[in-house]
Amino acid sequence: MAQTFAGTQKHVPECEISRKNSDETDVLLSLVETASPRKEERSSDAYRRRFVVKVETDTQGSILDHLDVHSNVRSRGNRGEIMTSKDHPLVRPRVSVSRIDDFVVSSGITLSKLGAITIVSDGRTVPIREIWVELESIMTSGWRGRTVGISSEFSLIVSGIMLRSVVSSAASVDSCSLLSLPSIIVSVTEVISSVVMFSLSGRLVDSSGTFNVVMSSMKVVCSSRVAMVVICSFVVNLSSSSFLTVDSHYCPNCMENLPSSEVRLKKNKCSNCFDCPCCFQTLSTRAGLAPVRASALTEGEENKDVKATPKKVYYLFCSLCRWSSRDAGIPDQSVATGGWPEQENPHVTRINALIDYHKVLASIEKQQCERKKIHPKRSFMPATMYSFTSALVRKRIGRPMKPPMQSQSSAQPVPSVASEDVDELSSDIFTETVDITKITTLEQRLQHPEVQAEKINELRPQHRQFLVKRSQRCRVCEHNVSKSDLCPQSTKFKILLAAFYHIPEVKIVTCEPLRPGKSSELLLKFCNPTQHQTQITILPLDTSLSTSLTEEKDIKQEDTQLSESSNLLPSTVRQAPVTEDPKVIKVVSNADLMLPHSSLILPPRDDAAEYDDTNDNHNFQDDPKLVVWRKGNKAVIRLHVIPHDTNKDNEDPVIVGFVMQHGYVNTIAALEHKSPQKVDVKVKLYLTVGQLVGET
Amino acid sequence: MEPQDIYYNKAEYVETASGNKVSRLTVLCGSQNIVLHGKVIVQSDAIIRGDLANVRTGRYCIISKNAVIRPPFKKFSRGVAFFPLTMGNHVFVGERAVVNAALVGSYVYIGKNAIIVRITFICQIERSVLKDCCYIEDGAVVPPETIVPSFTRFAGSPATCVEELPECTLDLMVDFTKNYYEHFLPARV
Amino acid sequence: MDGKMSSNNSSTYRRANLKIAPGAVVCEESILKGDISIGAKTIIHPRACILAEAGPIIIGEGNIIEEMATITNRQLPSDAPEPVTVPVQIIGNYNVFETDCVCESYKVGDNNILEAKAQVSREIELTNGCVIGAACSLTEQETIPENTIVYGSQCQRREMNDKPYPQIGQLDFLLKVLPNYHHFRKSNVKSKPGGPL
Repeated sequence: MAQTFAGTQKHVPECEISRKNSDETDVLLSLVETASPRKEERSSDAYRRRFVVKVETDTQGSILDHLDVHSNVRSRGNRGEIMTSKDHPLVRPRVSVSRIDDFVVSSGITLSKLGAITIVSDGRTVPIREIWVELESIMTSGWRGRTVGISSEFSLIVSGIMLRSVVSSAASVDSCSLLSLPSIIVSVTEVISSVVMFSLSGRLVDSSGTFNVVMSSMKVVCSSRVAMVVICSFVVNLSSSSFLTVDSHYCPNCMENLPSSEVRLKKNKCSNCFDCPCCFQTLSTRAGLAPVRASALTEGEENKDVKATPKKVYYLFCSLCRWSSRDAGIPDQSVATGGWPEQENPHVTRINALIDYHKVLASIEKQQCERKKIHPKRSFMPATMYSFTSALVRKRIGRPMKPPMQSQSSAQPVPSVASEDVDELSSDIFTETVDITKITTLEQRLQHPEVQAEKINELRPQHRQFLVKRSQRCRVCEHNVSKSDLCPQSTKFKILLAAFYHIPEVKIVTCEPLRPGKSSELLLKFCNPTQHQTQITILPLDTSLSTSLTEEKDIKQEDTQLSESSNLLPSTVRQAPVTEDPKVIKVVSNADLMLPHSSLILPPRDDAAEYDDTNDNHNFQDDPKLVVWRKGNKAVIRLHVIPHDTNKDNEDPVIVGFVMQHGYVNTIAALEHKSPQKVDVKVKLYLTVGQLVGET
Repeated sequence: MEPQDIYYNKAEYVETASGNKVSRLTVLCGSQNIVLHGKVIVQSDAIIRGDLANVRTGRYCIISKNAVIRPPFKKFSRGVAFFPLTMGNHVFVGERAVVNAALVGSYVYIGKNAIIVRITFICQIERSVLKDCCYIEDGAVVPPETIVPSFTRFAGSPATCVEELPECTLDLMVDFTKNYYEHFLPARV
Repeated sequence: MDGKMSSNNSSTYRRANLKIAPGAVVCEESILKGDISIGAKTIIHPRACILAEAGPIIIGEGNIIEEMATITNRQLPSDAPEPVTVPVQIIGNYNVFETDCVCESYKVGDNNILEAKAQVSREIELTNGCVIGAACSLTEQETIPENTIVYGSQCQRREMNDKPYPQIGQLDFLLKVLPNYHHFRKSNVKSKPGGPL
């Protein structure tokens, strides 16, 4: 496979791959530097595509023998092609990054095995010393509740491998429309190898403490000397379409609220609160007596405090796993707050050198950008902050990889070189018995990536990560759709336009047992949350959602945001927002719905009605076949579901879909239009109504 | 999903003027120290340990079967104390859950079999008004001295934040508890 | 040894086998079945459940058994070989059995804590100073070494440097407070029984 790459010059922005092996397999990785999108494409939102890359190595690839990478770049407007390496030896996707949804490694490399990442190249095994990471878009929201905060520089170390990085704080003009949410490009430099990959599950933490992306998985694929792609499937559970911006940071433990400049300085971590290195719970401070006696007494002495022992000392203690700072040999402190020794990162000089270098690059880019007047249309994207790395910019504008300016290459830090000299294992590794309770687990190590501690007592408490409060903006009009109160404890919102308060709520009341081809009764409860009367009509699923206010929602995700259509808000330069593409609804209905002929009118919500027992029904002329029950702003209607015959043996639940059209009075837009607008909003709804029962 | 009607045996439950529905089969120790603020449902075999310290709940709290509400215990340098346990409005406590927290805010969901170990604050409510939304999943074990922030969903053992909750959690919980109360009906004989 | 308890409960003949040492606090609402000896200063909360099915249970001093905690000397499975002696379950001193835990262990030492919903099955011996964390379950036959803590969903283990301290404070508090709210089963053993350990 080496020859495949031999011709690939470092500055050639697209590379090709794939040699077809005589016997069955494609050897090789088809990925891929990106070609810069053509100009007209760059500005187009529709530039999305999907490509699938398949990689298989030959027998000598002892580590990697099978790998499927599915990338999911959405294609709209059919401008992109879909190719696989099998069909086409040449894959030339023009998009640099996308999400990889699925990634299969059959002979899995686990991280624990990786003292260094192993790369298979020409049958040899080469450790990588350094991988560069460039982040294309900034992530400021959380995954699994963890805050992801990124300052402009960080580095990642994965089990001995450094992922050195520079983050651009925002996506560039063209990339923002192209990129799906958080994506990372890892460019591997100075590595002569054909394939490197690792998959991580869990979280990835940096060494300097500034970055904590928690990814479901992260993948690196690299080919020789060419920037390669890492993609993380990073799904933020959010409503369909909004930008996120971080409003404030706070510590989930002490509820301290800090301005973002200070947060950056503190690397997104609370200086007072610590996590247990063993079980990651919050540590509490305990008082004890001076260690002379405390060693024997530990906690117990709290009760014997009365004895005139002079000195009170404090230590950290985990109430879940009973870890204490004394276990780790951290000296006790004489004051209750702070003063705990910080852990030094052994690679700090190297990281700083790289950071400095990239800062230089960033400033050069900034100048270039200004010169070229590529002013982003979405000006709330802070292109003013240095926003992308040189490599990326060059990719975008189709320049060669090598920086043209000599001045900066002179400042370039010495690249780490891959080496084959790996220390011999000491022989007692085979003879010594292992006490598993004293060895760090994978998770514990990942919490301490810079140290790679082997023994539990080498672990040190970690500063607690901040959480964020964030606001959301509509993608279309940049209006704020939600903005929370700054106070960490408050659950109030300054602005909250959740769909829950605007779109009628649909609940399944009951559904008769479902049999293929037979009709079953389905009762649905509708509730009108607005202050206006509304008319609800049920339409077939294939109705076009022609109104501008199209919403797609799933039964489980009813809190989608409303997107008001107007383009007024002056865009402000804010923090880098996170963008998320609207979720593609992949749900397929597998049952028919007998649509009712009449529609349903729901009166406005009346909070006082709860205390009112009169129970007037507003004298609606309801179709008795449709409306079963009605009270206040709620009504139950009866529909009939016929599951398709085809899915008899199918385990899948029965899903029925329809379009709900409801009248909506837009009072928010009324500020601009003087009188409230009345629109009919159509919402596509899929209901999972249950499992089929056997035919009886 | 609309909740199904739950029918209870009228003879088993005591209904107070303020709308509390309390099963006779519960163990309410030190009942003089227990304050239920109205429209609270306490189902059979639930245990509330008012003897250890005061227990107060807000309105529309639902305490399911076999749940244990137990004031937390804390050791001090001089002696020990049980903290009073305060629960906000619109709180759901699932079956067989053990709540040992010092504070449970409002609009909180605690799943089945969840355990909240000593001195845990489910949302600190000291300075803020009772407006705290969080969700403890079924079977989660919230470790001691944890603070569960608003708009988070905790799961696992030890419980960690797995997700953020939607902004309208408050209204969803109000809806949920009110609906539950409305569907908790005496069986028609 | 005899049933001179004045309380009203049902299982009269079983009561004959219930030995409560002076100073023990056994709430009347607790569920006790079979041959059980309870040591001094042991506190049994309401709805705690002690079932001596297969043989007697001997509980030492200063234990706290909280509501819904279950201590069972369980009937051996029917396919198990007939034991030579009657299986006796021995619980040492100053252990804490928190809410809804299940302890079937045939031998529990001193100063152990079973946290809420912890489960320890019959084949396990708890030595001293062990903590079985909330919702952890131990089923395989083994002896848990001293000062071990088991925690988390994976039942991870560590050896604690700090020994769990006997819960004297909580005991004293409960001994003081509980009489104000509960009826107790009276002690029926005059002198300190030689029973527990």
